[in-house]
Amino acid sequence: MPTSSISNTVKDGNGVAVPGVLVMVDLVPGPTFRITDGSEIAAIAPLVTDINGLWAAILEESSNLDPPGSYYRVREYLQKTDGGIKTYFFQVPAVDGLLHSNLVVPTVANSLFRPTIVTSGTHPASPFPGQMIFETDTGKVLFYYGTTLGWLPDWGVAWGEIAQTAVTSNQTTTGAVYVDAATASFTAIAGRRYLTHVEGQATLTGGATTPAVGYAITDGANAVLVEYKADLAQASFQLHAPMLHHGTGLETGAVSRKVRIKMATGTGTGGYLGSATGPLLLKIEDNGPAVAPVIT
Amino acid sequence: MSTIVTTPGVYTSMTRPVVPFLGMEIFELDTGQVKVYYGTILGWRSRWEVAWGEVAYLEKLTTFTMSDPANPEDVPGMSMTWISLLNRLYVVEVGFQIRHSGAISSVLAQLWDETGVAIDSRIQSSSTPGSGQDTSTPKTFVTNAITGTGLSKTVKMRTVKSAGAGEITCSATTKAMMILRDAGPAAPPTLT
Repeated sequence: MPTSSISNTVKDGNGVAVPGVLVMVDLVPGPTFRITDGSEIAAIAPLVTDINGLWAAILEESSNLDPPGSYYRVREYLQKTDGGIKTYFFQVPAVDGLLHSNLVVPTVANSLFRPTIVTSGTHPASPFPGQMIFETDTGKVLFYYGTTLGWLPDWGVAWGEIAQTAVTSNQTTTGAVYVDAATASFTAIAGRRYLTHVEGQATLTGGATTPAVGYAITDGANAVLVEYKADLAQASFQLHAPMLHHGTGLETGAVSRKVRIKMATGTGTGGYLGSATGPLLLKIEDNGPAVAPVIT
Repeated sequence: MSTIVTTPGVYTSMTRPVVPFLGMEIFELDTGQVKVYYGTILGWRSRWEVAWGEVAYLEKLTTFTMSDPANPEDVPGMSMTWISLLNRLYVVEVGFQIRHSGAISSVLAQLWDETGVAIDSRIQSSSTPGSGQDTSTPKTFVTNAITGTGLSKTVKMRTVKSAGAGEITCSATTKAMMILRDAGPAAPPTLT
């Protein structure tokens, strides 16, 4: 394998060589392979300067690094009193040499990655799966998941709230069949886990004949996903009546979630209260991946 | 230098780099997840600074009838145990319907942790004579953030009944459910 030695004498702020300094060398932007045989280059063991402040490392020549353009970084861990940590970037030529003779100006400074800088309207024309971009108009870091899914945030984490409805007027019914009280819609992505939260103050007035109010979370076609009832054996009540629904991970495309209410038993006027300071809340949250994405 | 690195290395979850370094970031083609290397103990994890989302979920579809008039009793199928990661925050959410009947009294639904301590409680009362003494309401729990210790954690649902009858009412649509989610970092990771 083509290798050369790179060396440097570490000195403090007064120009005095410093022995016993820890020296770490690694590759930027990350691990590399050898072009000649495809083997991976092993991590470089830490070095320590000798009695003369000298360190030397035998390293793969830069011309044999894959990906091309990779280069080396060295950090000399001087004590603060001796000037603190020094970091240099360098290449390894075909002959042995000094660090000073082989310095390069890093294109990515001390960071590992610089995402492609775009806007939401100017995505890369020929992306590849795993490509990372930063949108300056939205502030989002996105990854390319192929032609079907396109550009999305990291699949492995929760994306948070994606839809919310706050109903600020009372939603009540006297009927025994469910009616709408709140609706929220979103675009679902297959394989994501969606949670639906409902927060509201249940109400019943004028109840008779064992009155109970029914509450449900349904889909957009009114199919019941979960349902509960509030029954205090009283003609009227107000109480906290929250609900949860755990998505299947199979939802895709345009999806709606509804809060629906009915008189489950008996008679009366039941439902949810709603006001500016006490709304009926219907909230949809992306809670992370249910399964791996289908990358096309 | 003319090369600008614009993306993490693309690997799979089975073919991660054999010589990773701290902070190395990869994109896994088979899981679609971005992973960062946090050292030999934590290994490859999602970015530490964000919420990772759902860890576990369970639901109960059959009614549990309270039977013990003197002591808290476990609700079968409503217990979650997991190995927590040091310095991650966990939140448990529970949804259910509780019923009490047959007495002017009340029943409790509670959440307990692995140390045998009740950490939250909901009450269901029947207090109006002559109205059948049969009451039901939907309820939820959302725990305070639980800080991971690197050890096993448990959150389970229990009930307490002093008089009358009580149940956690369940069916195919009236589900009792428990959701465990990672809510983000409590403190920086321990890098090795």
